[in-house]
Amino acid sequence: MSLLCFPLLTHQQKWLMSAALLIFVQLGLNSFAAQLKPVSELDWMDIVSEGGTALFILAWLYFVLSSRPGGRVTTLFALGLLFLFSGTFQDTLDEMLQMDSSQLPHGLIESVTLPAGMILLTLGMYYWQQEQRIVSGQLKKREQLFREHRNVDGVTQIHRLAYLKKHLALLIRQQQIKQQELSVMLLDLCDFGDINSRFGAGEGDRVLHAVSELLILNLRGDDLLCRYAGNRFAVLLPDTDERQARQLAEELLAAVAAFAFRSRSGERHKLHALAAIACSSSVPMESLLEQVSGAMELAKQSRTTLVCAGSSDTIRRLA
Amino acid sequence: MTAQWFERDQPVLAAHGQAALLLDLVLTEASASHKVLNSTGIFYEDLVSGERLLSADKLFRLIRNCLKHYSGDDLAFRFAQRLVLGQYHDFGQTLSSASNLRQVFQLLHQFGTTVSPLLTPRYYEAEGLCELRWYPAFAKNDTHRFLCEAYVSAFSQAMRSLSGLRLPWRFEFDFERPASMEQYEVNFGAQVCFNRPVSKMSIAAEYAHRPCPRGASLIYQQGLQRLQKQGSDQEGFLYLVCRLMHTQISRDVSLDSIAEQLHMSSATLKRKLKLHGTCFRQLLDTVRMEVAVELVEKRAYTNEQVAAHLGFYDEANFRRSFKRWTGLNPSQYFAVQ
Repeated sequence: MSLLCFPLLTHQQKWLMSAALLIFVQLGLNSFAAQLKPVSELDWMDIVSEGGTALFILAWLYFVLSSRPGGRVTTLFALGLLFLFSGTFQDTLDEMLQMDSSQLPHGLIESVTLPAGMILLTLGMYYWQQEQRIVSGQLKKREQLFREHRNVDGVTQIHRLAYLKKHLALLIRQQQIKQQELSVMLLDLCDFGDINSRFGAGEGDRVLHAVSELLILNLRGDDLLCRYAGNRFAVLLPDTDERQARQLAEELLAAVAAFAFRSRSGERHKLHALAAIACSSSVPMESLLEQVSGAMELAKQSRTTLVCAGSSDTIRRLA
Repeated sequence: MTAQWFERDQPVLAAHGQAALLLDLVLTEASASHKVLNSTGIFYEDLVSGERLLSADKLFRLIRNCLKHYSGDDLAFRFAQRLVLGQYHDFGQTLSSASNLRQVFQLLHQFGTTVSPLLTPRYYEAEGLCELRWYPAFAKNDTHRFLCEAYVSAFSQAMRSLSGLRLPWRFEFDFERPASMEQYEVNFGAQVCFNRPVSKMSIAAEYAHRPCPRGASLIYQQGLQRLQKQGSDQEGFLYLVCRLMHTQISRDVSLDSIAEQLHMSSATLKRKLKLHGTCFRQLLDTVRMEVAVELVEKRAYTNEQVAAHLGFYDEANFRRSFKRWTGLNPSQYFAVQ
């Protein structure tokens, strides 16, 4: 109803306005039907606990609205919470007002809003769970076993290396049981300083963001991409042997080389990258990261596009 | 006579550009500028107008707040990427017209404080090695690591793009190895060590002579003259005291002798040092440690020779002091390095 009244407001504002309107309407209805109890009859404990519950529900409504975009799930959550609020608010009012229990607002609001709110919230939860499954699918290559928002890098919106380290520790424990191989890859964007000095560091940040998206598109479902530091990315490749890791590295390097980055001023800038890999078949699992970063150092010094830790043959030297 | 130094609370630093840069970076994460500027004594309007000078103390507080409000560990490095040295009028112009790295070093040596007021760059060349050392202008505090990371990485990037060469630097830092090394690996490479007496970057002298592709010696000379005309480059007070100690380390360094050179009484010097949160003995120790390590490593001095050079009563005395400075005996310390 109130959604239609304020076509120019955001969905958050609309719902908050609806909550305010609801409070007014409910107060209005009650004021026709009843009068205040004498102070001596008031049960303060009940008033505080029921009023407090109503306030908490309002806070939940606010958190849900401020953290979610509009849509079916948000609408169900908001409606459900509004109904629940209306029910508990009426409870609070009942504690303070003297009224004939057969009268309209009291009976109707009590018996209708609470169950309706519960049903709507449950329905919302059901769709939310479905939605979450899809979101998790989209997030999969950025986030695997657990969720830790404090580790997300502000520039690329992928996790920092700390997340990969924790994840690697978990995998190592699993891998020891399953006896599967596991690889780690580093990918370093070359001449990144040139991009910064030519276009500005803001454009450099955009390159990093674009490249992280590009890499995600080229990775498999179980791979995990993180930002190592600066212009370097790290990829955790579970259940991957050296040959597969090499192939994947070649593919990523080719994808970066074929990528046409355009600066905001429309200038085209070609990128190229170096990669280093380490596989648990030739390197102990605990030192995978250390070894792969040593291999990357070697790749940088010798300008070799792909270096594999623990193996003597490196692939393709840059001119 | 005007003072050759500046004090911690003296508003002399035209570092608005850098303060604004840092604030902008942190504001991509923090919600409001007033939170980051809280209790720094800096007002957003000052940074926008760029007219009011800042003091070292205010900058320290700003850096501290920024580090607190920023979640990553790459703030110094992102700051360095954005620190376009060309924007420092005469300094930047002179820098970008340098014909080789030695000219860059000399420019930094003489006028580095215009760009890096809190961390003083000094150039040394000996035994086929060029060194750029970075001394704190005031007492080392919790922003020291940030300053080292920022300016060392900014100038190594600048020299990389001026020379067009991948330069094989060796980096040393005067603080402990950080818990995660990824930022250092990516920004400084593998040749990095920690717990050294002074932060420095060094490179074989042959690289100092390689011509820079965009060098223009006439413009460089003109720029240098303009900078010289603008007057002497002031030093942070504590750095100045340390430098004076350094020059006469093998003679008798005393509170009186330093005070005399600064044209103040010993009591004033003592009081000033106390205001800076340090004392004469502490400063002298840092200088002695730096010199001792250098003499052993570069000139292969024995402990006895070092003790004599630094004016210790005997070798045992020196070894005891060395242990106090570093926590290790000389033999242990040099074995680790």
